[in-house]
Amino acid sequence: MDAERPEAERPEVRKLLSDHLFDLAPIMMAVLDPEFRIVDANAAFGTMLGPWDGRHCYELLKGLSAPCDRCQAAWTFADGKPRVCDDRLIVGKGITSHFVVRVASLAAEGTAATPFILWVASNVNEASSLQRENDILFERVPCYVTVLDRDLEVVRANRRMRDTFGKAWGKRCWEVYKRADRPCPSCPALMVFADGKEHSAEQTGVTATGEEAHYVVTASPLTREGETPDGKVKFVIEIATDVTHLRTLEREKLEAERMAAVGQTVAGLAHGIKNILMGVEGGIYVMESGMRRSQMDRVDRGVQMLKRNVEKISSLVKNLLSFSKGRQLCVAMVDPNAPAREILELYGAMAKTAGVDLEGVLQESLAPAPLDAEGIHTCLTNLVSNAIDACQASEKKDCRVVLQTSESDGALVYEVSDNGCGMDYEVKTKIFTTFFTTKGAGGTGLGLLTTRKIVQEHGGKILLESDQGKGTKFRIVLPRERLPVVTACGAGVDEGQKEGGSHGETQ
Amino acid sequence: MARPSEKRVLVVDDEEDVITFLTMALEDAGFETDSAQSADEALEKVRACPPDFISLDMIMPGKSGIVLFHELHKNPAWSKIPVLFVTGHAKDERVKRDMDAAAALADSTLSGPATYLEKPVTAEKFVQAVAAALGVELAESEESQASEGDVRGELEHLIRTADPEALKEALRLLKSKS
Repeated sequence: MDAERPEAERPEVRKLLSDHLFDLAPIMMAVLDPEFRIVDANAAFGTMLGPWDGRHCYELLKGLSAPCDRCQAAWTFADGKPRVCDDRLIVGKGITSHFVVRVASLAAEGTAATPFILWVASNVNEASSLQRENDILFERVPCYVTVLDRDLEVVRANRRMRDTFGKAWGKRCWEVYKRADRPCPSCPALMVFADGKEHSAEQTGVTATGEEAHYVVTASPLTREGETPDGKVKFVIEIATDVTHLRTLEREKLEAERMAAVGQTVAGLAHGIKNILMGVEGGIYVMESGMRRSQMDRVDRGVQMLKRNVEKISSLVKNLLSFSKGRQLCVAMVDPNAPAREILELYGAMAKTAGVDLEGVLQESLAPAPLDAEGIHTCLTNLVSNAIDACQASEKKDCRVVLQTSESDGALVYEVSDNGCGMDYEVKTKIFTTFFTTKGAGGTGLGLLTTRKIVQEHGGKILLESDQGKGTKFRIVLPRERLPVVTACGAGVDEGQKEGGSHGETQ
Repeated sequence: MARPSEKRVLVVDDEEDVITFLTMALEDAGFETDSAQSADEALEKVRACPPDFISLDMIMPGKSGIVLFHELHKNPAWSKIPVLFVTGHAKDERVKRDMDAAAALADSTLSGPATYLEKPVTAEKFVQAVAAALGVELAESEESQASEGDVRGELEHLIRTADPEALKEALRLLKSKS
């Protein structure tokens, strides 16, 4: 049917095109003779460039008095082959614009000589300014930007990249970024080449001056949708943000936290000693006054007081030593629920005897995490036994302790809550102080401090909510990104060898 | 001036040794004493028979000293009882702030310069602080009382203070007698 045929095949359309195509085309066209004189031009040409009749192209388009140095048309006159180039042409007084210029021979079929040339130019000013913006963006963006091919060879690198890591073009990315001799184990670019999706990773590299550089790199396929019909990504663009400064700050902060903990420990130690000194002072007073009065029972009482307090000093020293020595974290990938399950099993019966209901609410399918299982076990032991004590100290009948695990905002959360006696605000401010105890002789005052120490070594924090008479809730929050690295501390390594290092820091 | 025997002091502390020490020091100076090992027990004792003075520990299991202080303050009669905080946590910012706030509340009732004593405290200093706050005149020192009433005590006192030569002489004399 007529209507279904393409417009161009219909005779009336063909006639219209052959008569008027030249003038109707929305791009500039001109015909040049071998002298580079404009012998014909279309309407678009005239509109853009004004009168042209008989003028030389170099004169009109470039403001020159002789042909251009690298004149494409001259070559086409010589060999008859079409050519393309980009060029800046004068489009008004003092105004130039970017064009893609094509030239083609207007030789009659079967003849070798080219009597005229068809000159066609389309304005690409907009595209070219976009290109310039892109170039500036690529060069000046405050990130390391590289384009990699499938061999992980750098085909483009921006200025910041070159300034920091040195010459990159033609080298493999791992050579440039890390001075390494093989690809990184968790290469995001390789992942992009494999699945065509975006991937990120945090890496540590070495700059041209040999300094350590930490950066977060995002690798994306350098293709637009539908550009690669075979689904293969040909190039990957890697954009890396330098986080060295942040990492340094973070490390300093961790160090400051550790120092603060030392300060608190010393302050706590002072409290512990002060309380014992009070007992010693009392013992001396009672004994001396007994001696003065020759009351042997009073002397005895004083001696007993002294003995008790000497005993306290020796246990304080013992506790302090074991606390300060501690143990190195032994980090392995473990199921975060495993220590919680152990605690529930261990304390279930004991809680029942104490008339306390111990309940576990564990979020299933938590991903394994690098934890010191024994350390977490210690933390949960301390919190759960504290909670059971708090229940016993309260007069409530239906006391319960809940141990909960969960994950939120990329952090593992262990929560121990009770509806026991709770704490007043004063106790709250003191609980993380060494040797602070409200349990009289029953407590060492070290449990929560040890717990906090272990939590801090895991890069986490411990939070407390407590209302006197209502109960207490402790939350251990361990952001996964701050968890320590897995350490090699198998059964073969003895305690002595493990001491003195600094595992457990988040690097 | 009042005499110590006319005043009854309630000592509140969760440590039994501290109670023994402080009550004994006060009794030796002639005061009447009573004791409580928790804030709740102290409140009961105050309710049963208000003391003339309270020596109060800050950090105790259950209710703390400051909570007890504020509870006492709610009762107009009890709020007039002078309170002396005896604490090992006096340097803590928060405890210090609480004690200062308490002192400001109790300004009109406390007559002594000290509103708190920091542990460890000597018997002498403690008794003096209580006496000063109560406006009580202390009797002559226990040492002189003891030496008057007790020959053995006097002898022991002499032995403690004698020079080595005198001690040798005394030993010789004692040995020759027995």
